[in-house]
Amino acid sequence: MLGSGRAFHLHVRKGAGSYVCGEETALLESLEGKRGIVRAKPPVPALKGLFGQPSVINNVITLATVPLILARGAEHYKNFGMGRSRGTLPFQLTGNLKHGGLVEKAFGLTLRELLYDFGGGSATGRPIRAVQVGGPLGAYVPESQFDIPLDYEEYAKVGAMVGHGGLVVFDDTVDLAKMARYAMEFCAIESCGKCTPCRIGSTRGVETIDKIIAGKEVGKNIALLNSLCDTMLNGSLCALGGMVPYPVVSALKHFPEDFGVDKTAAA
Amino acid sequence: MSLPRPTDYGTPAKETDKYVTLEIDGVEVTVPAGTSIMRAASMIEHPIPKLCATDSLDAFGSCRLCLVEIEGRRGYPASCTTPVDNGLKVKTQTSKLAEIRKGVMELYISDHPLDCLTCSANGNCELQDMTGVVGLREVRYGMNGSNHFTSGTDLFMEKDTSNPYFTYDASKCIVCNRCVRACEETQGTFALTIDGRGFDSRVSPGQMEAFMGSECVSCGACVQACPTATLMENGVIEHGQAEQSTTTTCAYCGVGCSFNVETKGEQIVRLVPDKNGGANHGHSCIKGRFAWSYATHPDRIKTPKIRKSIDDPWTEVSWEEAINYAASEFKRIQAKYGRDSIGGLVSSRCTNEEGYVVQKLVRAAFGNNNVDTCARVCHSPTGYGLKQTLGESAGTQTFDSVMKSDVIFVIGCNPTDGHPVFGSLMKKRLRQGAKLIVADPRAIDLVQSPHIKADVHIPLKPGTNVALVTAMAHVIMTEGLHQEAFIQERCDIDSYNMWKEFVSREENSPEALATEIGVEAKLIRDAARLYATGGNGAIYYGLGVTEHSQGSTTVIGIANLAMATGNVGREGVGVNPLRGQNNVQGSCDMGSFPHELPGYRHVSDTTARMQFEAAWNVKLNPEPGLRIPNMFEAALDGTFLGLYCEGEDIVQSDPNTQHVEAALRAMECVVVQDIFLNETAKFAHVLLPGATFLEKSGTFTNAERRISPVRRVMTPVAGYEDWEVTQMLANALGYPMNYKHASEIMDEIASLTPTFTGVSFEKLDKLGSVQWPCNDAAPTGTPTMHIDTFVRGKGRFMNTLYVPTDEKVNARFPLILTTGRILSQYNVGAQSRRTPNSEFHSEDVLEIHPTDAEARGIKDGDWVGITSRAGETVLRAVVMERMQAGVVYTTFHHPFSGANVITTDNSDWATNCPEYKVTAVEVVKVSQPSDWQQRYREFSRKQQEFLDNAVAKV
Repeated sequence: MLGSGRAFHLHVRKGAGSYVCGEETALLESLEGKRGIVRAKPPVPALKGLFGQPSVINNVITLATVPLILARGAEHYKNFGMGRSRGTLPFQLTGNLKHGGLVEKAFGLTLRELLYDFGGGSATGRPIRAVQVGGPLGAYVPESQFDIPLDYEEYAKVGAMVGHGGLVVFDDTVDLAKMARYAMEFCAIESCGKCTPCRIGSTRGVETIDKIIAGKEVGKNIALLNSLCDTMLNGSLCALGGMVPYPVVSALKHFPEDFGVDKTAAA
Repeated sequence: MSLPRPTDYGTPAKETDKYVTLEIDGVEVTVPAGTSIMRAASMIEHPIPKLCATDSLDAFGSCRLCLVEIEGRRGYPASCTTPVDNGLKVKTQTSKLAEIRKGVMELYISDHPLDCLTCSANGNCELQDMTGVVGLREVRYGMNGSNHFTSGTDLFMEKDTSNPYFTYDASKCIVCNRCVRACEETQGTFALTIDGRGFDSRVSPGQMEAFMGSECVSCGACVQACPTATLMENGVIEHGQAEQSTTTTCAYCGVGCSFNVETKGEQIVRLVPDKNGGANHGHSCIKGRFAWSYATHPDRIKTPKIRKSIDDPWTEVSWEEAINYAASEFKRIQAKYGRDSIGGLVSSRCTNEEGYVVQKLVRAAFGNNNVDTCARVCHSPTGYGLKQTLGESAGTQTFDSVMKSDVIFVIGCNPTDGHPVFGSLMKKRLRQGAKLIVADPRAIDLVQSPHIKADVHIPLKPGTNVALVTAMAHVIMTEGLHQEAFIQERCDIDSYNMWKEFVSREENSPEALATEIGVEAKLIRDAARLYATGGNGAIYYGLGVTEHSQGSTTVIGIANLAMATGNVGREGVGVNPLRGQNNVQGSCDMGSFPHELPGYRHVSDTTARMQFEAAWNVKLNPEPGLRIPNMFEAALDGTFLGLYCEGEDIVQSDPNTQHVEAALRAMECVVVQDIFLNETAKFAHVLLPGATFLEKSGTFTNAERRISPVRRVMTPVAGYEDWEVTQMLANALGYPMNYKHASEIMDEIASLTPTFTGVSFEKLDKLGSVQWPCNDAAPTGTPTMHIDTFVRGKGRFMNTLYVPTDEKVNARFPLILTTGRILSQYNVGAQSRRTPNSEFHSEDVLEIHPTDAEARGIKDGDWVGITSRAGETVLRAVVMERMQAGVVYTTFHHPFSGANVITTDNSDWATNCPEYKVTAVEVVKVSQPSDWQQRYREFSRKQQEFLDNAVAKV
């Protein structure tokens, strides 16, 4: 490698399309040829990982950052960003935007800058009502929070997350109850089935939102949905079941009218 | 009231000398490092709710009921997967935890049928218990959501009742994975998995097959692990939860598993492996756990019977008359043919106490030493070989010792079939990375099975064990792989020098012997190097070593290897004979050989004999008596005419059946005491009903010298435990015996046997079991033997010259037949054939290699005649590559198979143990049963008729 006399072995393995196999321990199980289910931690993979051996697991974004840090030095990289969120993140602009695509920026810019300066506003020309930030398990961010800097800690403060920096943009025709249902359904489809909150909870989540959408005992079922989200958030084994409450609870919190609840009553 | 469950600590105990101290609910607790918070909390009786955790399996962390709060840590970690740490402050009960647990439980119950009152687990269901513990009062989701319990819906699965012993009801499954993990971790079969994912997840045998059609071996570990009624014993489904539980010891193989027999009155509901069992730690196999219904089989002999001739029908008589008749016949025979004209056989299936009483009957009441036991035909070479070299006729280790082995050398045994519970433990160690050497003519399961692969498999030709162990010794000594310091300190140096010179000769090198053994020399060198240098080396062997003309020589050779490499006297090493029967070790210990008094003391040893003479108040004969084969010869010579045979089926199990039959026909009074009309009973003149292990008290001693309690749970069908019958016979012969309980017999054994002096029923009740020697020097027993010195003082090396067997293949008999066992049947099958185990193995078949089959025009499923120098029988052929070409294989569980019609009279030079494992045969396609089989069928039909038409004497 680069005349160093050392070899670098890169072996690319193709997954079978399971979302949860992106979770580090399910990824290890999958690499070992087993069912892709999540392992309990501890032990962490750094101590006991692939085939029981100590393993370092990084995602592609991290690995892609390495050449720059090696070439320009840690100080250079550290100069970018804000707070504890240092460096840059490639934001993925998708959904209802004029200009979708990839924008790599230092942490600290706002959602509004990304949506309007880079994305050029909604493709339909209608007002942007909600943005799901951080992937399918990210919270729905309402317009009122578009000016919060994209920083892990700042986002965590409002119950949202930066995650991998993916943005899905919706205009004002979106029905957030349907999006909440979609989040639970996604979890039900992708759940590995190991832990109870995720295995059963995701299916019950879909059913409960269906009842809400159908207008059945809305108040009682919204309380049940919040309670379920609490169980899943605190009880799930991994981030799939543990984070699906983010889109659901944020949708409920910021867009109660979509669930048939008066905004003032919900608050 | 159903039975209380034993404490389940949730996760396994950790073995370490490091301890950590933490605080749980304000209580300071110190536990071994690595212990889970769940276990630590359970130890201070602050149990944490759990469903997927059980202390026989590694933590899994799926149910999410066991969450706790830890000061300074985020969230709610699962206590089963979180280890303790110094200074942790843990809370197991807070309002937030209660809320989460209730939320999780509500989800569980939303997919579980609410039929608790009619459920088979009612009263013994962990889901029910935990629902109660968390205080669930309502299922807010309702019960109409997607679920697995509404029949007719997509997710509903019909019950799987394919297994005769348990039922799989997927509608009750909570996907805790305990069954799947038990199948992997405990049993090592990997038959179960979870099919589908997410909400669809469901336990699946194989790829959604029925249990019977899958890889499942019916060990019961999954049923044991299931916290609900999903996997449930049919006994519980039929009879309901039991009300009493009695701990006893399995009566099948030499592993000696401890079981809790769960009953309601005389009705057995189920047998559950005891987690405190020293040999099995809560594991079991298909035989011990499930195959006990023979005890109530209609074929049981329920009344004593007598007849003048074996061609007469039976007459049902009182116990008194039967005993008096037997006694008068024995007296008559002795008066006419002399004192030595009768003898008795000690059963390796009966208790130590019963064995002791039978040999006492022979020595004291018959007044001769004509007593022998079926160990003659299985492990007598072990007794001889280990006594000569190490000084004690027994294995050196505990079963648990294998968990500290680095190299496991398996020769002539098939633990996954013959000793399944130990086989599972061995596989567990192998999965942890121990190396494995297998020397066996067949590719037994250990050679390759899920997550197990032998590092070296030596598919040797049957009959060449001595050549193999000698060649291995050659490699070890000539390559300097031996432990000179150990040998110098622990062994007899003259014998060592002689042996070293012997094995180092070129004629004993792998290269010189490879052709004879039938494998490449390199394999032998690899095996020797691995065993000698791989760390703790342990040898396990069985009847594939002993049942040869040089059986004793191989046992000696094995002991030589262990001594030369320093692999004796600590955990993880040793010489481990896997004894065949539940009490074959015990029957040998009890003095059932013609030359040895209890405790392996020779009858010619005046001091020992005088001790027994004083205790028994009788003069004893200093000359050894007849061995089983000698009895047969003497019968045919007209000098041995009476036999008391308790719990042994010599006609089916001894070699050269036609010879045994002729010997029995020649006798004038054969007394058989057995639970069924076995093959030997068909030649009997007095038939005394025996009692099963469920109907008696006593002790069994397993392959690791572990003396375990046998406790009566049912009234004997004919009123007496076996020792009581022997006692009646002794009294009728004029020798008084007055034991009131089996414990009194053990007290007498303890008073007369140096290795048993500390044994009593009271101690066994207290400790569960003890491994002999148990005496003043070792009051709680001796798990590992020969720790500082060998029992005989210095370990003795003995030369092991390979002498090929006389049983040679030639043009007329070009194939070698070797025999073995199968998991689901046990030996002659008298018991296991009378249980649903026959659904797993209904007939013995001949395994033949495709090359040999093709040369003879034999196809899979054809009837083939197998002819040896001794006889002929007919079996169905199964063509498979498990055997090497030139060798055929069968089992001997069914009498009609006549496996022993073909085995010969050849036997071990030292002990007369028959050479079952090598018979030269020819195999040809045939269309009808052999002459012997046709005669057998007719004879058996007639004998059964005699029994069925037995008339009660008025």
